[in-house]
Amino acid sequence: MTAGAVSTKPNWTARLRDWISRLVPPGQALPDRQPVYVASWIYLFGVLTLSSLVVVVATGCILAIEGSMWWHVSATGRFVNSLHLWSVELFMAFMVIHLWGKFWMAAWRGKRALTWVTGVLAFLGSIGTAFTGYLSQANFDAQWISTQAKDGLNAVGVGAFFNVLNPAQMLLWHVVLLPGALGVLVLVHIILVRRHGVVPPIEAEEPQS
Amino acid sequence: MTAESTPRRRGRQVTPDSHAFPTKPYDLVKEFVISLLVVALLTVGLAVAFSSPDEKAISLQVWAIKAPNDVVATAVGELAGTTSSAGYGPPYNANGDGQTIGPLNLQNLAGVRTPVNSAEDLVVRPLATVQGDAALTAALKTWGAASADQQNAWASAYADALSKAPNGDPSKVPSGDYGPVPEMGSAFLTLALSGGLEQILSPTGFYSGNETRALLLLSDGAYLEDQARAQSLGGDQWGMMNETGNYPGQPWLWLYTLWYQVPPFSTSDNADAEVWALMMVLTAGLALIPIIPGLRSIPRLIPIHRLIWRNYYADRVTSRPGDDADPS
Amino acid sequence: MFGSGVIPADIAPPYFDWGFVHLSYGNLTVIVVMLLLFVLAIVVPFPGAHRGTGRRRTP
Repeated sequence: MTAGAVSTKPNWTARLRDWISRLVPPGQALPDRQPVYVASWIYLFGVLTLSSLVVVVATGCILAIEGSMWWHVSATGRFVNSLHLWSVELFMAFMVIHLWGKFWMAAWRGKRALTWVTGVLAFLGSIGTAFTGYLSQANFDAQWISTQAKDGLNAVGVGAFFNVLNPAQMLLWHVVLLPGALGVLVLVHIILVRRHGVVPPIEAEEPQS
Repeated sequence: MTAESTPRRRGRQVTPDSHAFPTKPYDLVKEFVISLLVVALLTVGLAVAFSSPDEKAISLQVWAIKAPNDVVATAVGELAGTTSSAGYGPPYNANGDGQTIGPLNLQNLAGVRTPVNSAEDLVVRPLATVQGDAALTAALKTWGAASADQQNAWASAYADALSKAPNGDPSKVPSGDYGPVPEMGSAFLTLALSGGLEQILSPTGFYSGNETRALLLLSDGAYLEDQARAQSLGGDQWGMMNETGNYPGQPWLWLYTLWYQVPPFSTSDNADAEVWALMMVLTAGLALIPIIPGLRSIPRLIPIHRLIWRNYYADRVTSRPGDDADPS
Repeated sequence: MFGSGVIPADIAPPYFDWGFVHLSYGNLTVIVVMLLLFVLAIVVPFPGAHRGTGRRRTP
């Protein structure tokens, strides 16, 4: 290529780079300022949910290091299992409060419908992930939950493909497939929040300079 | 004070761009770090205070020790085809009709993808692995040589007799034409007491992993459910939400389990399919709130937002009359 | 507390019964605390929530 020659056809890399840079307005990926109306404790429940998810994944990773049966035979393992359980309870509690807050703020306004939808999908994905976690406990609770849940899933044909009586399958859904899907949903959800900004108050008026 | 206006499009109020508003410093990263520390501390505190439940799994051996008559009755029920798994239908076999949602039978549509022949897979083949029991070998030979009708007649008669015996005790069953079934039932109990039944049931041998058969057998009996109901884990006890002991369970399943407590679902043969269908509709409703008229207006009509944004509303110098359009 | 986690199957924990509702005290506690947190989050003033117009960010 001669010096100074410029390709006029943008290549895939350039197009991807431009698309990524347009996902959020400049400076809005990690802004250090927020609109003045962002001033309520209810706004904290999104970040509390995200922090809880981090603790859930971290404690899950520690359980994974020693394997899924560790917590039955080790006091340390039992403690890590307890961390995992209670971080999940906190995660679900904070997420639902976050949902309540966003509902009463009608946070889907201003082209934010997809933010709401990805949030609901993440909620459902979380329930599914927790469910497969309960199925992976290898104890009485898992025996009962699996033999009960099979009826609901079989009744709609899902059980033929998703066998809750098969812990070898359920464990891998719990640690690989569902967290992976959930991670993507959470990422998209957060990108959308940064893209559109925090929703203005209901009946807010357009500020003019 | 700057002049402000309420932009409208087709009579509906348009939500202003959030980036147009005055701003104040806000440290998101610091907020996240503090939040992470708070959650981590809360988690540790709760784990130290309450630990986590771990009620041991009921092994088939424990089941046989605690409820031997239930084991025998279950094995005989498998042979007679009267247990839940024997007549289940898809995905295990074609012996049941499957649940319906109106004209739709999704259970049948999915097909038999986890084939389990309750009599053969859960009782006969495991018994056939037993070594050095001449009486059992002879009984299995008699069973195998009989027609399906004969097998069913023997097993049904014995199952009926067991249900009438005090405590379902096989030793108190009056004599009758039961063929080799009593011998098979007794040998099955012995096999369960040995502690090796789970692995014998597994189609993959040493490394089981997939516990379908053992769980179907266990749940065909009464013992597992008895233990569960004692802790309010039954389906009609809001069990889906509950956990062993005093621990919180899955309270987020409250709406799913609620329907099982009320008619018509509480008495319907298609309850599982019907509740699933209803929950799919409600879930779709939740996801699509932004576009459902009426539902999406609830936050404006019940003004909890006036509390959340009270400082913003108080700062507004003027408020326009007639701001009663649906929020966009 | 529940330290051991191994609870005999024949001990039924206490439950809250109201009409057709049958809730474990564990679940009831979680739900009540969540509702309380929600209400507090909305009514408790947020520090630094000053009245005034703030400063528009220069692009």
